[in-house]
Amino acid sequence: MNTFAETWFFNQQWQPHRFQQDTWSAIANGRSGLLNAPTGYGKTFAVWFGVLQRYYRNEQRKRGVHCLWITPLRALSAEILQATRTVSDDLELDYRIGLRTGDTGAAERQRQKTSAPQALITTPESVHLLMASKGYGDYFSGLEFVVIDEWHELMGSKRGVLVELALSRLRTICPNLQVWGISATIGNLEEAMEILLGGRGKGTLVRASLKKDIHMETLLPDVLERFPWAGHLGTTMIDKVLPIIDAHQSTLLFTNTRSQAEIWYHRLLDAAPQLAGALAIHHGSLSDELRLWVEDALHRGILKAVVCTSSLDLGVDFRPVDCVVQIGSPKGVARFVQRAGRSGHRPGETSKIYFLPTHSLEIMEGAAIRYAVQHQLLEQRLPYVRSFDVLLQYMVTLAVSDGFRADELYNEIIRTHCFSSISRDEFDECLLMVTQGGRTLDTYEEFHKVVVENGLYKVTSKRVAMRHRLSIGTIVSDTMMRVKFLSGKYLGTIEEWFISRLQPGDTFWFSGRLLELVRVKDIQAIVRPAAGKKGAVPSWMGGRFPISDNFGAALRHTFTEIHRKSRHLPTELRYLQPLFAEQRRVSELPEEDELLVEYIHTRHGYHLFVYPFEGKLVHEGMAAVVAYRLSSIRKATFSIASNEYGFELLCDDPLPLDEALQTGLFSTEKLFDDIRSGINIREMARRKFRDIAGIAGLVFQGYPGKPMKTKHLQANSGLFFSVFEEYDSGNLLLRQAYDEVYDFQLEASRTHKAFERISTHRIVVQRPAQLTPFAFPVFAESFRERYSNEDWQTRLEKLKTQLEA
Amino acid sequence: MEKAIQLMNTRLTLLPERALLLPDYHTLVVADWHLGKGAHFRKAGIYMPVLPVDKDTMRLQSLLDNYRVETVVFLGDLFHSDLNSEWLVFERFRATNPAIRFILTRGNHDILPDDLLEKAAVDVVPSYSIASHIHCTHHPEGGEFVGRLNIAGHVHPGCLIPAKGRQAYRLPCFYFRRQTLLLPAFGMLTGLHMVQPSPGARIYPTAGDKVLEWVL
Repeated sequence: MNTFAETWFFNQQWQPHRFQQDTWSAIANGRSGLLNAPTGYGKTFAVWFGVLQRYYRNEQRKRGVHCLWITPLRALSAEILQATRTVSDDLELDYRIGLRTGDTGAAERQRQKTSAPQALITTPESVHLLMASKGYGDYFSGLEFVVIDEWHELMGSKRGVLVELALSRLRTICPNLQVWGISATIGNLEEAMEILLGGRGKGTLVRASLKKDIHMETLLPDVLERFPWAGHLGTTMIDKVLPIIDAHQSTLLFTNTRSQAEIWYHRLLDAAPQLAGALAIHHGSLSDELRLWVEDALHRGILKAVVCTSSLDLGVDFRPVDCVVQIGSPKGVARFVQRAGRSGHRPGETSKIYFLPTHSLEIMEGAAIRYAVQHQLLEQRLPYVRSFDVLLQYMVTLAVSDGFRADELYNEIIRTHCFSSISRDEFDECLLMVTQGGRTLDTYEEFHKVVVENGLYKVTSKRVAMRHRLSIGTIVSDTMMRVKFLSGKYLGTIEEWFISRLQPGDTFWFSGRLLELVRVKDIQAIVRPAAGKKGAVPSWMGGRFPISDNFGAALRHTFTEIHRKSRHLPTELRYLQPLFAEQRRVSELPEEDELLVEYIHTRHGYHLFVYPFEGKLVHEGMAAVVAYRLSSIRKATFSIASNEYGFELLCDDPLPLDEALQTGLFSTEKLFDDIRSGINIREMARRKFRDIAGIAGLVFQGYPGKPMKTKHLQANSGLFFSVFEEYDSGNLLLRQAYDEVYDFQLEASRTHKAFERISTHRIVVQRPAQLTPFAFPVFAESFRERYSNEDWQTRLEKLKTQLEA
Repeated sequence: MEKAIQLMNTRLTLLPERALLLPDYHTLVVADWHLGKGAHFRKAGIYMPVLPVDKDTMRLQSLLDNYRVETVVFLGDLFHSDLNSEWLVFERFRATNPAIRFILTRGNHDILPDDLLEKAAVDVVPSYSIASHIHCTHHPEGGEFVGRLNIAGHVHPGCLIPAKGRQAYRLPCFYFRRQTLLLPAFGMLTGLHMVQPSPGARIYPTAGDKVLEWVL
């Protein structure tokens, strides 16, 4: 029994949920565990009262921090702080709660050091920063609890690795530590708990048996024939959205990229000027000030609608929001459910979400997502393993404060899920990288980072220490420019490469306004408001997330329904019948056991389209294999595009298609070899290396928005990648980049399954005169891979003839 | 294979080794070598493998051996930062070519003490005129002076050439616009700054052993 909870719930006249009582008793029994509950049902209290009860169970209480509450978002921290402080105030407890994030000022940090509050609400990065300050072992010696909020969000990212590492050290300092995770529903909850608790069978998994009702509807265009075959903006559907905004108190419109949000925002205002003042925009590149204003205005119910990106996926609940619109493909089931849940989140209410497709074939995704939600096909979150970049950063973090001993550290980290498989040799190689800059002993220059004194690894240089503290964390961004008005007012950040393409006087859309570039100074873009209607729209990198495997399965299921008799067909498919008829007319509409292949010649070159309906990730792998096999017959260079339905190989020369089909273009024979040889893994690894170089401290960028001047130390990760490849090819970080490609990008095993499935299919080859309804969306994908087995000389000759023709 | 062009009545040879030869003046121009960059990073605790810096030196040496060169003009950023051991590489290179005049138009990275450069017999100047109408500087002058050809570095120009089949090539290049010829960075530890094709601009990408011209 939890007397604190009972008293407080009684005073609020609330009935505790079953899952809250279960959590209280598990915590009272000294257990660790994972709590799985939907938002809005009091999951914070389920853990919090357990923490309080444990604290007050003994008469003798240790001073210092008793509980660390880790959240992925600063906005969320503020909410937790408010809720927990209310409890302490209401019950007149001397349990104090402090906030420790990147925003916490120096004075407050000092106060937290000299007179620590009982609980600190913080982020993974801030915990590592605490471990980078001297005496952190004493500071945490009284710690009994670590709570990781929204663990499902952290787990699939390298921030999750930061959490694992912090826990491994804290368990050494406090062997009886109780660890609790809080997670939304994902496909691998058990694994999520094991990773957090550092092993199997150690904890209690509490699942709330509350089910949230979701009402979902696809917005269909009036005339299918006038709806585009490809595209990703969806602004032609604005007329469908306005009545929805009118009919609800507050609507969130989710887009998949920040540039799309900017475009929707000003198109909405163009279409409905009366929304001015009641419409806002929210995305990750805007200044904190602007975002906080929007969040606050949402709370107070003065906004009719907000156009936003994943920046509002998480965090505080906004009570007035009673409707959500998803613009463009939802990409993942869990994400869709989460976004839907931002409306009507109070117990008993129904969440309401509209899906707005941006091109014809995407309408099908409405049916697929409904099927996936109904069947609870929620994604798994894949944890990172063997992230040497994070390990290197962590080593320096510990060396900056009290230092570490190699054996001790090795024994700690191999108990984490992430590093359980690394060998002592690999660990030692990491040590060499931080102490002498790598394996090569013939460095004639003194390397100043970590030094070893009597077996203790320490940082002695003040400059190295300072630079390291400023770069702790795993979120790596492009060089960002700060966008400011002439008056000095700060608006947000834009990637440097976008600004570099503009001339002073050019106009662009940002934070929902049309701005004119006045000048660029250092890393600031000075702007003034511009009149008119025309401007460039910045696109931000990293806005692309591929569709999940479960959603891919749902799509395939939906596609097999196309041929069913129309009476039982989902609305979306019935609506799309004319499109399917057109596809059948110009090419073919494949049956369930058929694989459609289209070979088309246009002014761009020779296109090969293949439609396995396996989801984007698998298509990338399949496309590479097919490219490799075609080019083994005749050398070629391909540009490769893929989407959720299929992929395209584009070549400047005709393809030996018939010959390839006869020799088994889609066979499973030697498949893994062909994947390895086929994919332009180098280019993918090069992209992965961007993050790795940042995290491992090769590329120094300082805090976002607070860039630090570094004398002559700028180099981009691409340069490092090339140099490593040529002169240190066995480098751990380089290998990690390739591993991440195999594990996260290619998913080689899923590609194999797809080929197995297809090997039983009949292959239908069509040679249409122009692009078909199926082909068009793939062709329109702007992001492309390249594969070539032509030598440099041949490619050069081709370029030459083209350039100098 | 080099590319011979003529700009403002001057014969210029664009070399795929990322250097410029003015045959009429027996002068070789080299921009942004950034020697010492690797060691500078290592000293700051940033891991960077040890490069055979000799590769750059050998490339330059082969040019001096193959063409008649009396003067080498370094267009700034010869050495990346504070002194480190890679300077010895340069000193050795200097000693191998005693008959050649070395000139450095100082760049923003050139912070080595003057006496070191003096010892290596490098004339350090803010700008250098190869002829009355050919002016070498580190920062481009911006075409202010009528009739003058400005040869400059600093920018590290590169270009992204879209090609058939939706492909693209990213290459270092020579870039000429409004009286200014920008040279590609010579050193191998240098990045690229993308320049855009614009009216009046001429872009000469270097690729492998060739210098091409990108005709729009």
